[in-house]
Amino acid sequence: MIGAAVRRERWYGGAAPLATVIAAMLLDLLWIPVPGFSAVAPAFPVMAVFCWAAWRPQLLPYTAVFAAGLFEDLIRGTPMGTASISLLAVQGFVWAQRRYLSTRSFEVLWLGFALTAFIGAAATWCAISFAYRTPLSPWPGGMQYLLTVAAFPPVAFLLLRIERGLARVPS
Amino acid sequence: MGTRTRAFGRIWVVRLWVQRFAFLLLIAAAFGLLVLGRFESPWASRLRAGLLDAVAPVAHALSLPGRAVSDWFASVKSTSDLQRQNAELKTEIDSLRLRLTALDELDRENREFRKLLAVKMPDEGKHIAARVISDPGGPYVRSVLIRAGQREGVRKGRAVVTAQGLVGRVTEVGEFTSRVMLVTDVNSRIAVIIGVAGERAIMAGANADWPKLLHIPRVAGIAKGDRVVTSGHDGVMPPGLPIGEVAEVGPGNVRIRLFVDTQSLGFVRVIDHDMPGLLPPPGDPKTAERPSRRRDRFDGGSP
Repeated sequence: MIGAAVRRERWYGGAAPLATVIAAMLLDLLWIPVPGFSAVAPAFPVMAVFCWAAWRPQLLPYTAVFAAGLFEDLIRGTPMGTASISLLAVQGFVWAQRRYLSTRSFEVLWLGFALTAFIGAAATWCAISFAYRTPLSPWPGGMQYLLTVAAFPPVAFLLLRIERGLARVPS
Repeated sequence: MGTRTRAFGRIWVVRLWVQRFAFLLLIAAAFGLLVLGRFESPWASRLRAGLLDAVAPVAHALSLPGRAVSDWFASVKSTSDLQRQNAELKTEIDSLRLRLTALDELDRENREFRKLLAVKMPDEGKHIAARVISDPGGPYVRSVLIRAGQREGVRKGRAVVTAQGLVGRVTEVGEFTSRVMLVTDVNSRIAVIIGVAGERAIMAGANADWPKLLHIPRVAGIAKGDRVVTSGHDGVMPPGLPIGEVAEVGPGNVRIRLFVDTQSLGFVRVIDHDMPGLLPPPGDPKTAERPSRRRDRFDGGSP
């Protein structure tokens, strides 16, 4: 018989990864008074999906990432399915390479993120170019990729604190 | 008992199979949505509009700190520039007074000619003021969210302007929030007239600061510095809205410098303007659907 407190803790633990991904998506709505920043703002959802897929893959299933991707498309006004393809590509790659990425050596993790984020950015570019039926300029996406990789350490640190808070939640 | 075990075993195998292939199934589903998205389904528009309203309070709250910082910098800048601005404005007022007298005379003449020719001028439409609350597009979409929707009378396809000129058009309308596709977006297509010669072309966004001109019948008739305004021939935008001026003229490449800085928008105005003979009367959902689709194909369709 599982107690109510344990059940609640499990529920919070299960909801936390998806909640952080959604929160990262809502950051897209943050208005930064720097001209042109929104076009190259770091892709926080990619960071969140990467970290959870590497540390607690069982808490963030493919279906949740797919749904979160649709939510992001609705917020951004991008063609439906674009963010889902990108985030699923990120998650799929991390799951395949989890052996190397779960070492907890930060340098390896950052390098792995740089590679994974590149796959995510390429998937986004391909999906949008397909939807618009024309190859778009990859430069804005490239700039966003560089900023995303540069902004990864503080975000990963924050997510690691949350993940450690979930340490008691059974896998 | 044996039958139940076998059935349970079969369900377990199917579940395992689904889990194993969930990744591929979901990628295929996302790809399917991309394909379906090409057909501009009304349910997707409704879903987007509903979500706009849901995230609007969050977007508004998240825009407040940035706005406060921006407003503070603007006030500091304007205080330090006050004396210089005052001198400039006095000179400008003098020159504008002279031009106003000439314009009044031209206006009077125009009215008389219109009366003589019995020309019926289109209704200028009502303007709805709205604050820009967010610009969440990312690297491949140029759009902003504004705090005005159906409640204020905003409708899909309406032109959005500032005092400087055209900003874009409304693509999604929620109850109290709307999304505006900027003229710089790669999907934006606007019929324009260039310069005094009146060359006609289509201005296309390129996800860059300067949109380009397409389908120009005669590039030789276009010169650097020519003013670009909406022609109204697309049946969407009212004619005569200022857009920008020609910044670059090259073989097959004419670029427009916009009058509006689309990257730092504060307040905008939505023009509730009906194009006579092209749009159905307001409040007629049955007939409203068809022309709006036609509009999308022309003005918001894929390049």
